[in-house]
Amino acid sequence: MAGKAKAARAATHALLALGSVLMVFPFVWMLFTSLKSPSEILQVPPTFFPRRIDPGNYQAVLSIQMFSRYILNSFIISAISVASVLLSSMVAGYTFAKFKFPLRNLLFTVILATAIMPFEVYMVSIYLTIRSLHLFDTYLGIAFPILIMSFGIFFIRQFALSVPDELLDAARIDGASEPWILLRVAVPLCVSPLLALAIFTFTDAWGFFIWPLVVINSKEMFTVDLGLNIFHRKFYVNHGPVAAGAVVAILPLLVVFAVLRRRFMEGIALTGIKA
Amino acid sequence: MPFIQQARRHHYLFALCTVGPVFLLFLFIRIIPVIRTAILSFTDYSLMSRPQFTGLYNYLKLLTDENFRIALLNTSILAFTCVTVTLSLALLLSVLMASTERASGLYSLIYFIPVVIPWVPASVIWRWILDPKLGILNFLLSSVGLPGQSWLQHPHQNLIPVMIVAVWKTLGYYILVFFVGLRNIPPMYYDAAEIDGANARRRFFLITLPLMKPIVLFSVIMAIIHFFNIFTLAYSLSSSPQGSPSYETKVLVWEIYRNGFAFHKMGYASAQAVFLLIVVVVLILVQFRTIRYDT
Repeated sequence: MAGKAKAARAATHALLALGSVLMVFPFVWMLFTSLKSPSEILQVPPTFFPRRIDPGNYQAVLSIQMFSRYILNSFIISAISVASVLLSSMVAGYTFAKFKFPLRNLLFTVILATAIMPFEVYMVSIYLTIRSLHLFDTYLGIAFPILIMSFGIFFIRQFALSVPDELLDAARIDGASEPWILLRVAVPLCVSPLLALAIFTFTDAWGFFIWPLVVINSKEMFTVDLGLNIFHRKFYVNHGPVAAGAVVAILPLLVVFAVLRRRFMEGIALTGIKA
Repeated sequence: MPFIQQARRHHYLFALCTVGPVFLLFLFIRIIPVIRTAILSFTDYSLMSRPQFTGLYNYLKLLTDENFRIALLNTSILAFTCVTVTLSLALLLSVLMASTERASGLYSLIYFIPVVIPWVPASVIWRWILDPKLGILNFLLSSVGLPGQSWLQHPHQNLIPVMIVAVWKTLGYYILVFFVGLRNIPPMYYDAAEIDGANARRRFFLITLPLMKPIVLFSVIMAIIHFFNIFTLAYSLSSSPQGSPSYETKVLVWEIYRNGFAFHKMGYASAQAVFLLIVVVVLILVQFRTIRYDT
């Protein structure tokens, strides 16, 4: 019956729309709060849209509270992680896919097995390692646990398997060296999964919290999450600047998400399907 | 003949130069740390002096540690509740989404936004929503006549807000995973069922659910592991700021963190970490077993 189908469709959309509001409202509410003047925030009953946009919260957070520095730190650490993961995953994934050598399957299985172990299980040991290497408060020390990703190797290998061997052999017959083949043949063909991996790694690295919490002692090296957490704890009652801090902590990821959303979703979907 | 040998040598050399360094990284960043944690779990190590071998002492202490028991209970409740709620909602919503044709892309995007937001800002956002005096939630409750709650201020009820935020933040991810799985079901099954006169509910239970079983099972295990390792949310949602006291929501990883980095009882923290590892490994093995029975 057409009427029943239409009603079902309307109900479906209503339900989905309600859920959408619940998903997005918290962030939107925070955004509006960050744009309100401190006196407007304290109003009861609360206003929804800011009556007058007040940039004071952002000024407070970016200059006085060093959040610009924190953002820079997060960027650098995430960039180090992305570069390292892409490099290691591409190089190892390609080799595992296209080369036969002794112990190949064993090594690959071991690398894959490490993916199961949650970081919190061995973070105490890594802390001791960093301690003996004196890498506290350094970008390398902070990025240390996320320099590699077993899933990255698995992911690139999966994709590299579909690169035709004939292409590689043709290049070899033409006298190309293996590094050249990797760089000029394999990598260009793998741009798509590499990009998805980069987005995934960047998001993970940006939100990495427990390790920076443990390994950073000087305020200058805080990541955005760390800075926001401490700021939130100490200055909870300054709702305006805290809200601005939260927005600032989220914004880079949202921008990446908005620009590259298709890649993002494809990448995430692939990780779920490779069961 | 020499050409082939030389080619093979180049082959192995390349593999050594690529996989070699990467495997070394894995050795130092993953493998050795895990082994070291296991070894440390049998010692008493406080950073001041060398580790002292204590055998099973740490593990015996786990059995009588009240904090650990609370943390284990909290984490288990959280994990199983969140997994059930999140995956059920995700399944329902992804099916609804799949039935809308063009809007599904937009919906999956919107539902995914909380996944992109990092844990700490998400906690800050929800802390603000849940604020007893100024938070929007209590305001909305009071405007429909319900009393405002003192969220996050009950010693024993903090788990509920944590679970709400955890579900909010993870839902979009599983919606996407299930949605892609649904798209992979050949439409001819549904066509045949419609010809046979099956209505929507029967189609769901007799076609969709059975075909989605592998993905759902996989997601269940992955979600349990994910929620068992939760830390940042519990930490930022329940750390006491000035002027707004709240109570700790003890979870397993918090115990590891506290014992290791606040009390510097590295050996004991390692024992707790090994416990966590065993839980995760058992869950993964359970998953292998159920998937094997399925196929």
